Amino acid sequence: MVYLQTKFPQFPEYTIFISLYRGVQKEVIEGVKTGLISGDEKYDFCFLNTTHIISVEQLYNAVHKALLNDLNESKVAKTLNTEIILNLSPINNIGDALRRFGVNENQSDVIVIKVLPSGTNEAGLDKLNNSVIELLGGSSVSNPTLNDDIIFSDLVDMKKLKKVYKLNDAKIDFSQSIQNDISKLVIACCHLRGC
Amino acid sequence: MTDRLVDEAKLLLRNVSFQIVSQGAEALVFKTNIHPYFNDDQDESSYIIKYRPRKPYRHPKIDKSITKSRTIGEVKFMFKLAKAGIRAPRVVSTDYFNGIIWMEHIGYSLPDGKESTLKNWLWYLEKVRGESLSEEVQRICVEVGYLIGDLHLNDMIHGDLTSSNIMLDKKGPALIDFGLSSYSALPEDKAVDLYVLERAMNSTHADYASEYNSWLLKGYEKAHSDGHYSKQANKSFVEIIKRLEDVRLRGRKRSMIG
Repeated sequence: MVYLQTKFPQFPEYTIFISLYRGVQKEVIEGVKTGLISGDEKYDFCFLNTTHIISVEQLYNAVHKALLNDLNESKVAKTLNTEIILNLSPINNIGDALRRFGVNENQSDVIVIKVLPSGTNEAGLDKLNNSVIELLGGSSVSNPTLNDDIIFSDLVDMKKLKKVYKLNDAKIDFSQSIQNDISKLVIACCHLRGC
Repeated sequence: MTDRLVDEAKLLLRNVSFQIVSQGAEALVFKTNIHPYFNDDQDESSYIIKYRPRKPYRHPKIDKSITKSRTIGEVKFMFKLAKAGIRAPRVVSTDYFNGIIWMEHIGYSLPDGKESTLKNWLWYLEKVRGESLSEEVQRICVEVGYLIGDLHLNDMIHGDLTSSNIMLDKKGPALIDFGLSSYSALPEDKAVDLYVLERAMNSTHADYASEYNSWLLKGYEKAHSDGHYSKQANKSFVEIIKRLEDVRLRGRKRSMIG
């Protein structure tokens, strides 16, 4: 059981929980989708597929921007969870963002993000992680540490990522770390939407 | 005045400590060690925050939309530079609502404590070491010219090229401050961009300006003849230089006659 937790200097009142789950069954993901659409409180998390995620930094950027929009009361989506998904997308279209970054039946890897009040302690986070594992199918699901290496080697689909962020004509310096370079480009690309 | 604006910024950037670096007519520039969302204890890099404060003399609604569109314009320009492989700061985060851009910091502190802009570096060499025409200076000037050539070959215009808007670090020169930037393929606009730099060099580095300018143009030509771009690059270089001669005679502003 491993998850990432972080805090942003500008938002000391929140703790951000991010975790990766692999081997989630198709039926379970369908269940998650219907749960999300019906607004079931059990599913009050931000569920992502991993195809277009290149780094942890990219995820943090989206959460940070969503919290900022929440503070400025300039949120476009209804909920904070959807706002995070929208802020991962280079296009200002919520449906499109959900299709690309939200959970997908053909993808057994799921990233879950949750913004919690900062009072939550380790035990609370552990409990939360367990409940998510339970939600996604219990013992059949593995919960490896989410880090940049596993994302780059196992999870991301570079071809699709480059297409979504329109980076095919970008000049990338291959002598340096490509992941870092592309990650920075992707983040800047998300900020072009202008909200 | 500045104090009031800094206090405003402090309210917006809660819990972020920063030092003021410079102030222009439109924006304040701060420096900080805090990353907005990706803090790593071992990481000692610093970040730049560009803040466009509210203008009390404008109607609040118009003010909001002007601030927002200018901030977005600058971020777009920086993204396009990054995509074209031209060295410039990377965007870290934005807050269009309040006119804030976070970006990476490029450069280091010179031995006399100043930031490593081209201007400060050349001044430092002039004053302290007296090697203004060394090979290193020539190499850097050619690199700067090359960078500007690259920028223009992508049909992007900086709009405010001065020696203090060019940062130097270990990897070479980088451009900063895109508040006046625009897009254009016209030789006229590119020539004016070069002319602005030439005038800036003449006034800030008067003693050696002619050498600096010839090296800059040498680098600029090199970018066009390098073959990274289409074969027309050479032709467009000739056109720009021809235009530059016209611009030198008449000044930056085009005459309204004709």
